[in-house]
Amino acid sequence: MDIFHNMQLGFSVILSPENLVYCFLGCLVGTLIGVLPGIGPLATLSLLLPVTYKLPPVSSIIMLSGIFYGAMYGGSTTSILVNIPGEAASVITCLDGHQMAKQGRAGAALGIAAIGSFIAGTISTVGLNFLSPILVVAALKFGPPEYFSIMTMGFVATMFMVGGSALKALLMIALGLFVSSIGIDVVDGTQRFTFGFSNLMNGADLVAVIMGMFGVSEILINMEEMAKREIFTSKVKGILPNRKDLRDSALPILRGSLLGFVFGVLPGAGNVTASFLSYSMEKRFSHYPEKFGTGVIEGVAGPESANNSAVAGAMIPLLSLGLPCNPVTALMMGALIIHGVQPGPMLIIRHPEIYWGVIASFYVGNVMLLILNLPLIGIWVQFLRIPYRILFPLILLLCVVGTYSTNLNIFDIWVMIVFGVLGYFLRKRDYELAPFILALVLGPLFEQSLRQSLILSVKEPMIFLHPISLTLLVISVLLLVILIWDRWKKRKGLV
Amino acid sequence: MNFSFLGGERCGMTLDERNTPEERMNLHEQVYNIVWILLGIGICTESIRLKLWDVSWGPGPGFIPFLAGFFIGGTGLLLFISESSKGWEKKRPEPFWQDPTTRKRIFYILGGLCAMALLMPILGFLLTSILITSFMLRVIEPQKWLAVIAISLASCFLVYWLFFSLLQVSLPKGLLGV
Repeated sequence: MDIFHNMQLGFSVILSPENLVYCFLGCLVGTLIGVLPGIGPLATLSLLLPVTYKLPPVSSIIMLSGIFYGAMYGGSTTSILVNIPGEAASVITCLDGHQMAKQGRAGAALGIAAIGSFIAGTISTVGLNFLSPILVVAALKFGPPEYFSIMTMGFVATMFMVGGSALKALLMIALGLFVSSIGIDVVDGTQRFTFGFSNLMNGADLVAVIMGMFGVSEILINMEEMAKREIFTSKVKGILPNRKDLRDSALPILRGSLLGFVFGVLPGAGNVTASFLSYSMEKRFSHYPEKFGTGVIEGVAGPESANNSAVAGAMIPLLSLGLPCNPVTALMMGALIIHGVQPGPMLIIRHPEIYWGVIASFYVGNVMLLILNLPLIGIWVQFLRIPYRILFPLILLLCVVGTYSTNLNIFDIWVMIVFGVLGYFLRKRDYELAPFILALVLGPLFEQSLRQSLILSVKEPMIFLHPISLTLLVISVLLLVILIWDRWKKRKGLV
Repeated sequence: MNFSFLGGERCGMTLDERNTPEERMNLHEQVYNIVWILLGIGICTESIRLKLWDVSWGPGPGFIPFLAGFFIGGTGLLLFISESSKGWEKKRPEPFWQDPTTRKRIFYILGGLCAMALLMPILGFLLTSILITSFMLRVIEPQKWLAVIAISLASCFLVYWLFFSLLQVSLPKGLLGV
């Protein structure tokens, strides 16, 4: 009964007029950026992070969560209509969604994406609701070695899950850890890699780094593709799928929801992997796998449900362990810390209104998104007609002002420019930025737990061999072995 | 030892078959790898100076940066060896920017950003942002002056209203006081 009592608290938080407005704003902005290609949820969250400084912590996280799952909803629109994914998790939706649009069934594709997203979002929120408190109880037993081991597992899992080179992902993790170590050492006050800049004593500002890596580099990358952009001009008719569409999509939505939820919880996996795996799974379960890629509704229903379900799943490690398992939740963790709230097992005890309020906001947000996405699809389509040359100055200004407003310091704009250039060059050669951001945010906690564990190990040498820590380290090693074996097999042509 | 199995997807081919023009050593990639190796060496050297281990405190301030530097340099080296094993590309490597217009656009954006950081404390946010966004709009994809001014003013005043009026963020005022 306790959980229902707590949910009552959560709903009393989200149903306050103020939080309802922030939830709605988050969903609205999220859908908008999901619709607009060229600016993903991470860049938007970093752009809007300074906006949340003036808000109470619970309102800011409700709004940021709304942007995250709103972007997942909106991302399908551009994939289906113009074959350009609004965000990475909607890449796979292009395959069948755009084919459906070409056959005059854009409405059905958009409709099933919204319905699937709603069902998946609700299923995974129920999972978040019940699983998260259980994990909190386990997390209370965690000490520095356990935190170190779980973060190590997260890093290895990230290497495992990224689409490209595992070595490049490892390099990005190391680079993120290095950047996170810049500034004064908390133990003995030594300045590390500050190069005499007093502004770097507190480290490179997180918002400036993220804004540069994702906002500025995104604009620079888009400069190369500006001419290739297709402007959507046709009209979308009939957004409600027919009975056969609904029947065909029922199981893919259910499977996508469960898969997405599991992959959301796993460190390093996230919504992109979930959507790709859901597509493969649907193809395997299908009676007509050869038709996938030609406009099959299951190819839209499954992945769109999976990527939405992963959002609520990803909140579990953040809220219960204080560990973000993807860059977006890493940024949310940053937002909570800025507000003086430490996510983790103590969050449910110290700030139950935040914990349960955020969970309840997922239910409310999903209903808002269904309303925003189904009847208002025509309005969202209008945004696809805005050329990028009009949008980019606004995005650039938001990057500059957003970065400046964090510390009211021009130096941070220089940091943003440096990381913007770095991000651009990295993306040019297919270096994934997600492992970098994950390591950057987790860096201080990773360093603290490793150093504390090593100090403790002087008295207790077997500290890393405690059951939880050992299990996590063994999983990490196994993942690493599987990763190397898999790549080796591919190289040798065994698969 | 060949470490390329960790990097690319080069399924079931002999070395000669693998080395199609696209799979030959990429010069740009190698420049990146050399940068990583040098960066790794630099970080490790500085970390050793910072102290890796302290008798009373355990791990020193250089401990984590050293680990990071070791992995950056080490991974860069593995990527370098992996790329080298593909063999030399005979034809001239493709330019980093396929299209000179793209290169110009990138430099205009970066130049505009640097100018913004330099001019903002002097001219203030509003004036600087109007000037720089107008410049970018005009040079990146030439548009009519009327459109340039309209988009620039709309973007700048929207951001100004959002941050200054609504969120009460103190933006640089400069000589003109705005």
